[in-house]
Amino acid sequence: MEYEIQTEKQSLIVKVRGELDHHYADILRKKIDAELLSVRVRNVIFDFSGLTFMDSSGIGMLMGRYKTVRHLGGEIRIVCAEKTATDRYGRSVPDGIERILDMSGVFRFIRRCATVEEALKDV
Amino acid sequence: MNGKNYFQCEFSARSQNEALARAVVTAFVLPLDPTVEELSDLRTAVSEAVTNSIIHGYRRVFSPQEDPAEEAEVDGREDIRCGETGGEPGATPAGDMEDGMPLIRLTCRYCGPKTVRISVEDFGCGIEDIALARQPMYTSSPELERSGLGFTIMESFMDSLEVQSEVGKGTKVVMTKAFLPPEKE
Repeated sequence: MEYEIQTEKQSLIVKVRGELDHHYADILRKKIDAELLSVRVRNVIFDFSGLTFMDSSGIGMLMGRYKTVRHLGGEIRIVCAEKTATDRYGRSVPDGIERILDMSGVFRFIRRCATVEEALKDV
Repeated sequence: MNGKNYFQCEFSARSQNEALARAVVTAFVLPLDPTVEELSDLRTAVSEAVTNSIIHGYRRVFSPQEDPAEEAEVDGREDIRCGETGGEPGATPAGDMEDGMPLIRLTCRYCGPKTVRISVEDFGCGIEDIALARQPMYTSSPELERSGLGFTIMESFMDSLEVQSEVGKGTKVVMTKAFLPPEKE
């Protein structure tokens, strides 16, 4: 996993690339929480466009940040197009990350945006 | 491709080895020609099983009281959740140790036409109530920000899931997946 954290006005933009499992979710969680404590921001925008793998640890990390950010009076946004894969019939189907995001129900309380710019306008 | 094949390995219960387990399983099943999607499902299920062993199987045995996240360095830290600090007196895992760490055993087998069976086994605290643990959104560790989706993901990403566990002895998760089109289509 590689990540980049930037601050834009009141939002933290967290770009994550590669594989987000329990090992890296723990690392990312601490980095984000440290930023939330030290910088005057209240929103977190996760850019998952470059994410290639995620398991339930990523969901735990998202839900935890959701709680923290709500305490600060802020919002969370997820940036990525619907992630798809091709099945045995050549049809386009939701990929693993997409299905886990769906299964977890995070989209019931975290809005998804197509681009970081859109997310910044939306928070 | 059919035929038989078998592979077993053990690795220490460190979170960095979750990626190792995914890589090993990927290499083992590639000759069965999975689609990218099927492979990704398998990798996710294995990741969930190994994470469960590290977080739930061994955590209570080793460091039940302190929040392991507290003092840990963020970068390059060891997974001290089940680290060398040890737990309560007498609370040792049922299995062998390596470098002061308990072990996870990963077994892979071709078990039918383009079908693989994978088991992930730990020798930790075991699960008291398997039916409860398998319920969606249930977690025994809300303080660790777990989503409670592990077993649900394994179940829906694989063709079968079996959980064997004994308190104080450990837990074994056995999963199968066929890299074939579903029968009805």
